[in-house]
Amino acid sequence: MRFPNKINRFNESVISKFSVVLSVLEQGEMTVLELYNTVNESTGDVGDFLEILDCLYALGQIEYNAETRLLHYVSRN
Amino acid sequence: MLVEIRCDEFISYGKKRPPIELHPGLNTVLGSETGSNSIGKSTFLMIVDFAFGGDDYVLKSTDVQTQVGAHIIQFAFEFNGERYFFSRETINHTFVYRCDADYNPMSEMKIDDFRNFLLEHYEIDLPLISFRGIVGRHFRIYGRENLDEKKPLHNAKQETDKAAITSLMKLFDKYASVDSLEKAYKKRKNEKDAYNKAQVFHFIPKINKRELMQNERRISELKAELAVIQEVSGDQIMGLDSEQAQVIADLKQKLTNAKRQRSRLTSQLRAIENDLQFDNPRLESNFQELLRFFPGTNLKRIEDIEQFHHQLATVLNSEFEEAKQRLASLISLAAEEIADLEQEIKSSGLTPKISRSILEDYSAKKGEIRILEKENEAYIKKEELKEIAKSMEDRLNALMEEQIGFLQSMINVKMDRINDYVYSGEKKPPVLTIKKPNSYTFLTPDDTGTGTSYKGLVVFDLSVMQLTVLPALVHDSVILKQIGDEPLEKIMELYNQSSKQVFIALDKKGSYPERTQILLEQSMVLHLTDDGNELFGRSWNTK
Repeated sequence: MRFPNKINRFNESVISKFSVVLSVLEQGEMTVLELYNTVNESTGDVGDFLEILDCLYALGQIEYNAETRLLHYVSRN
Repeated sequence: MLVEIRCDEFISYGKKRPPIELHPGLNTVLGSETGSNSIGKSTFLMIVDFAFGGDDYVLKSTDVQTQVGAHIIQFAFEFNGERYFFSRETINHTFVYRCDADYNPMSEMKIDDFRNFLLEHYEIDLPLISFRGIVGRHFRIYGRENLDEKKPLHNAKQETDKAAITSLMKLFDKYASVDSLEKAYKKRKNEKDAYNKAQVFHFIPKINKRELMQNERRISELKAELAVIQEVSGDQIMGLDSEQAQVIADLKQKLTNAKRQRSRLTSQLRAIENDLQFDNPRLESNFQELLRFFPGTNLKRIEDIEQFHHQLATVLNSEFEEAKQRLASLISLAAEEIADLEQEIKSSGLTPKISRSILEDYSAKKGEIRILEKENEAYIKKEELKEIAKSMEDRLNALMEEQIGFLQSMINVKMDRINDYVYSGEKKPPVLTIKKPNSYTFLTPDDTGTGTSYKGLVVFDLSVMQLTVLPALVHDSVILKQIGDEPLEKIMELYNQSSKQVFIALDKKGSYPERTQILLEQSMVLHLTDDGNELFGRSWNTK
């Protein structure tokens, strides 16, 4: 998992991609594949993509509904 | 010749007129001493014309048709001692009835058949001309359109000079040789005109001489360029025409596209296969690191994160498996297409070594050459057609001029002779000048007087009658009364001497010199006056 440090520049890091994913999910819920197809140009391969989602989940920014199979953004209100 | 005309409507002083007997030479319809109008002189001449197959009696003498109503004209011709009796109805004038000697109709004939009967029995054997085409022009009766003394060849006002001249040539049998050449010329001209039209509508390319030269230069440039292509690509390309080269170029283009598609699909598949190999160990330390950037956040438990990860990875895995299969089948389709195209190119006999761009260039150049050559061929063909038509037209005009020259001198010599008789050699004759096949003048040099002009017209008709098969003449009083007494007397003599029939109308017998009076008296076939002795026994012009 790449974090910004001496070796990795910020925009190569996993953190720099958070906003890409969140800004898409802010618009509405999506399946994993839909989200991947929408953002994969910025996020890199599936491994990188899943890392970003794992992080956002760990931080409590997104949730996954196993029944509807939809990812959604956790609202702050 | 026409020997008799009768009609139940011809009335004199309340009684039916006896048949009007006609004879060779001069036949005179005499009017009154006071010169009364509208008593039927011209009408009778129109009826003579009707008996000779004309239609103007019905079409132009409309007052008669209105006042008298439908009626039947009965008439007889005599040829070689045999009489032929006919009747013709005004109401159904397109037919003539062949009759017995008592004018009982026996059979019906179409007017054209009747005209051909006259042609045959007058023993006229001229090609290309009808009976009416012969007599119609020389039956000059008030109400018809051939009274213009300056245009004696014309049958109608709107007729062109060319048509009038042509008709005269036919009567003099000077047209047959011209006709065959003219037909050939018209065929060529039509051919040329059709070609031009096709060019106007772009069915055939049209270029001018300057463009022809440009095309030729461009063709030699292109040929030089093709030679270079052949040099470069070896002999393989030779013998390919532009379409074949284009087909190959298209196949090659398709092949390129198919190959490009296949490699795109393959790389997608490879990417997915790579993607499916994800499953990095999720270290808790990794997530703890997040807190450095997002301090104070409640991180989820690592078990939850792993479950979350597992769920998403499972979903993606199955999705990617589908995509993988889809891609694999697309790739195999592309591979099939590639194999087909390669086979097709191979079977064209051209090895796929020559590049598509060379083939396309070759095809384009070949195609351009073909278009330019087509344009040039069209230009050359057009010029050829133009030249043929022109040379035939020149030959035709030369022949026309030659024939017209004969005709003109025959008529002018004859008119000179007749005019000398009429004026005892003291006055200039009328002169017919046919300047071109489509233009003529008729006049008496240095004398434009009315009487002279009408005398010229009469001299012209007499000349034509003497020179040709024209079987009869009709001159109405409107022409004759313009002519001076002395020339008229000589003209009367000429009419009278003619073996062919001449029909005239004239008034005021007493006002002419004695010799003329005697001739009029002798030749009179009908005498009309305005006191119940009009042609139909009455006049309809009084109030």
